[in-house]
Amino acid sequence: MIFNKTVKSKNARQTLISFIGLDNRSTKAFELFFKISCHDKYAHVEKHEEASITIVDIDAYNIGKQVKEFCQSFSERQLIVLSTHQSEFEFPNSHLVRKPIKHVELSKLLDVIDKKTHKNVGAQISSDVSRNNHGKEKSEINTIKEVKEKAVKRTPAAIENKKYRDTAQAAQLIGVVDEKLFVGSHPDMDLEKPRDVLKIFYSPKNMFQGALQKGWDLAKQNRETVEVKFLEHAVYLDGVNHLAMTELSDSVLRPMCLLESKDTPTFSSIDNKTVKERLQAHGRAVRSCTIESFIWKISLWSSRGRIPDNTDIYKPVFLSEWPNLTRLQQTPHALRIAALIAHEPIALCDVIKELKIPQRYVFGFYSAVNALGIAGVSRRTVDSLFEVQQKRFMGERSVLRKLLGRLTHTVGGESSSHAVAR
Amino acid sequence: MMSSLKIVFSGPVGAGKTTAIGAISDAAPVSTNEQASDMTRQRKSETTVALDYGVMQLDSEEKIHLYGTPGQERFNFMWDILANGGIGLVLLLDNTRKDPLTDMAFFIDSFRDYISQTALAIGVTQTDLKAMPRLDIYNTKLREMKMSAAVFEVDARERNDVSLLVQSLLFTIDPGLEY
Repeated sequence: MIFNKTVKSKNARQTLISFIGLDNRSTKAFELFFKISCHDKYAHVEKHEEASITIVDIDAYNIGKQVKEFCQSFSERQLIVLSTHQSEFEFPNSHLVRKPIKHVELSKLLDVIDKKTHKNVGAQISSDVSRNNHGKEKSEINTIKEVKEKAVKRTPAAIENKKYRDTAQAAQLIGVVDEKLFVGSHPDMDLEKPRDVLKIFYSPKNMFQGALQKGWDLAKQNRETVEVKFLEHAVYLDGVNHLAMTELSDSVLRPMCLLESKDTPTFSSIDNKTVKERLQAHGRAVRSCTIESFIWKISLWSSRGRIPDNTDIYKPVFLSEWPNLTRLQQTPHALRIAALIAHEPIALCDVIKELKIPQRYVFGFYSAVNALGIAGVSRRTVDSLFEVQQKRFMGERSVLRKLLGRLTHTVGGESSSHAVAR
Repeated sequence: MMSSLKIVFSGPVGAGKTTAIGAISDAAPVSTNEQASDMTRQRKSETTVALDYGVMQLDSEEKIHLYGTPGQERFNFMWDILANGGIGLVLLLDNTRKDPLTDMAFFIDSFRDYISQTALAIGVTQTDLKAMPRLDIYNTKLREMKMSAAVFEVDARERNDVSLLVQSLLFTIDPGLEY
């Protein structure tokens, strides 16, 4: 007897699916997948008795025995088996789906199984159709071959012959104010040579940037204004209004950013009234800006196209949100780098290869977003159960390129000057 | 008339959709504005009741159509017509409105299918008049909604701001796109 449990939800039939070996996070991911990608056609249920399909993560620890027992109780249940590596199963009626899961293919497979189980209620499903992933379904799931082909496309060997494009044009188009000051001018380092690799790092902890970040953490945590003193210069950070105040001009701040100091910076709580009085007492102009733009600027001046020490360029980094690039100095290719890392965690060395741009642009951008606290090294090797879907665009890429050209080349006949420091 | 090469601008009343289209369109946008006669009047005297239309001519053959949806919810049916194919959605949110985060959730939910097939970029306007909520709060809300998009402060009158927003849309679709 085939189980084909369905419930009526609004006007649509809903097929119920149970899980084995999926943790809470994966369960939620599937629930979201059922809701959004499958338009509520499927729903998760806790009890196997209520389900007509069961999804098993066969890579889960010690799962074999549990699945065997399940198969004995539900011998004709349609199983979708998720795995990164296994391909042969002794379970009847099983359909292999490779991880990372492709939304579209899983959705198709579910539809095929659902259609069959629904059509043949009360009848046995022919084992030659469904058993162990043979038959029509095979073409509809992610195969090892596809994964390998995709991986090959991203290998350094596949792109080694492609030369880096001249990015000076890009830098000019996006209106970077004195690019050298923000991302340096050093050439790419050979990342295979240990001596060269050392040159890509800097130590923000011992610099003004480190003091600033520590002061900002305190101001945010205590929701107060903190005075940060570094090399006898003071900056005031307002943790409530997210403002940075100082009387120091850029011509003082910029060189200060390059100095390392063994002297410990000092941090003290201060009220905004006293801050105003102190700043006005010297009769100099008080400079106030958002804390985000201040940290962004300071980290770019400090890093000059390098990355904080202890950053592993071979580990994927994440970007939890885009920086507010309409109100920050834009480094060359900042939008492209942001889009790529925001899409899915990716190693910095791969960002350089994918976008074919100089290391310093990627490193400078990463240092700045890292200083803002919106980027870091991803702790999970596989950050998502589901494969990240590429955005689809049905038109030709050349159209997008032309549109980009229109957006960056002309402003009423003049060159664009995006994101000039405000 | 409706080419697939289009960008849809959406958002609540007064968020700056018409202005943003005008900022990057080759010609002044064709608008069907009318005197607002209800609560909308509290926010602006004229409002878009059908749609806005602008165009960016790329060359002799190709052009990008820019469509602005009416902000009022009673014209939801127009959104479905506009959100059919295309490059993506530029969502503009007015930070001075009572609850811009709810606005964001509402519009994202309304266009969820369209966004899942294309791309989304969010511009928050009027931040000079009202700083809160800050962008980090919008981003937190987006993450709660399992969405990812560029969120920028924008002045809809500034071509550079609108241009960057549209560029972020393009790079979201294809980060490998080169200048």
